[in-house]
Amino acid sequence: MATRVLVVDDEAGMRETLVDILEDAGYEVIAAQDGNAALESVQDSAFDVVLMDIRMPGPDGVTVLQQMGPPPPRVIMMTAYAVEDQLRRAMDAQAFAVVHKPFQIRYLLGLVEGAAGTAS
Amino acid sequence: MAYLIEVVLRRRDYALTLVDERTAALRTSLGALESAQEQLVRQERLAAVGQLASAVGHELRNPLGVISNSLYLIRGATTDSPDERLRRHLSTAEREVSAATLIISDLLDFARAREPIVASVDVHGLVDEALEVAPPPDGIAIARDNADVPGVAADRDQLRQVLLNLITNGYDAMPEGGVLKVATSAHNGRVDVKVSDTGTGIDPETKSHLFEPFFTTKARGVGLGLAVTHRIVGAHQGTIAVDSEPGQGTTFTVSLPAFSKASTAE
Repeated sequence: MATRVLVVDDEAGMRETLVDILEDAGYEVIAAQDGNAALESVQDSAFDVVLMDIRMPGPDGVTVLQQMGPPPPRVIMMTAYAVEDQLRRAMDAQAFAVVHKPFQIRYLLGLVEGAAGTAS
Repeated sequence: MAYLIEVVLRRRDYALTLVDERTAALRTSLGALESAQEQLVRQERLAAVGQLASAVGHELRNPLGVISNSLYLIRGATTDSPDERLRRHLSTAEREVSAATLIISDLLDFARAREPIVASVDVHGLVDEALEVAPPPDGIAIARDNADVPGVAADRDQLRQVLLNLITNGYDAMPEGGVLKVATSAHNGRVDVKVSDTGTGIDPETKSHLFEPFFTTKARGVGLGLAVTHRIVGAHQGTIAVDSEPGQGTTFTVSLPAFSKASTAE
């Protein structure tokens, strides 16, 4: 069974390109446009990895991560805002990794693979 | 009578001297006050410009991220394309997105320096990534000399920015082509990364201003790359040295502590 990835980003361009990139890499991908939609998605079905933007309208990515689970899926946080306290909040919330936009796709795919490999 | 006149004159002279002294002191204080006020206005203006640069920089990272993802998808879809022009233009677009991203990263770091979040970083992997983000222009060859080195205690994104700045500076120093070499070595709990070019070299006058913000000898660029590089390396308890002779090329040596458990201790 293919590894399931949930992509959460309010920016349509980012969401759509990530869905295509991950599908090309062989993952089964579902997209959500904000934190509330992401919480609904994880309640409906299980995901191995979540790729989620931090800054979104409504609950932000770190708040959504705190509300996921138990057990929470492996979450890779994405951010365009390299603000120290935001990064620390994400790490305190047990994010698997934090990546800064724009990121190297090969690096991101490596992280997704690593997160999928260690997913419980 | 003559004695009285002399006393009065002496007192008058003394009073005049006092007035001169106080006037001079007042002028000095006024000058200092004006200069402090000017500095405050300048600082406020700089802070406002910094805030604006920071806000714009952050906002640009999202669209740059989308463009970068789209280019990746186009690259994948055109791998087998026989159209050499298409592949060349794609490389140009990728290179320019990387250049824009680096300018924004430098600007953001300068506007609001972030403390490094330290982990163990594989330098060789990070050099691979930097060379992938900023591949050499035509006419420049890459040489690598990888020693067996431990992970360095660094903030991955910040160290990547340092490497990108040094590598792209090396490219810019070789408009006629040449060799860019990245070498690593380990000694006494530290890891050295040397980035050398065979380019135009740096004259002593330029060398003395190299790490100053907004100093640049390039036709394009804001002159923040090496200032930010210097700041980041310093924030990692590292050092950066430059060795250069005009016409002989330049070597930048960054020395960073190797990672240990104590590296992440508060």
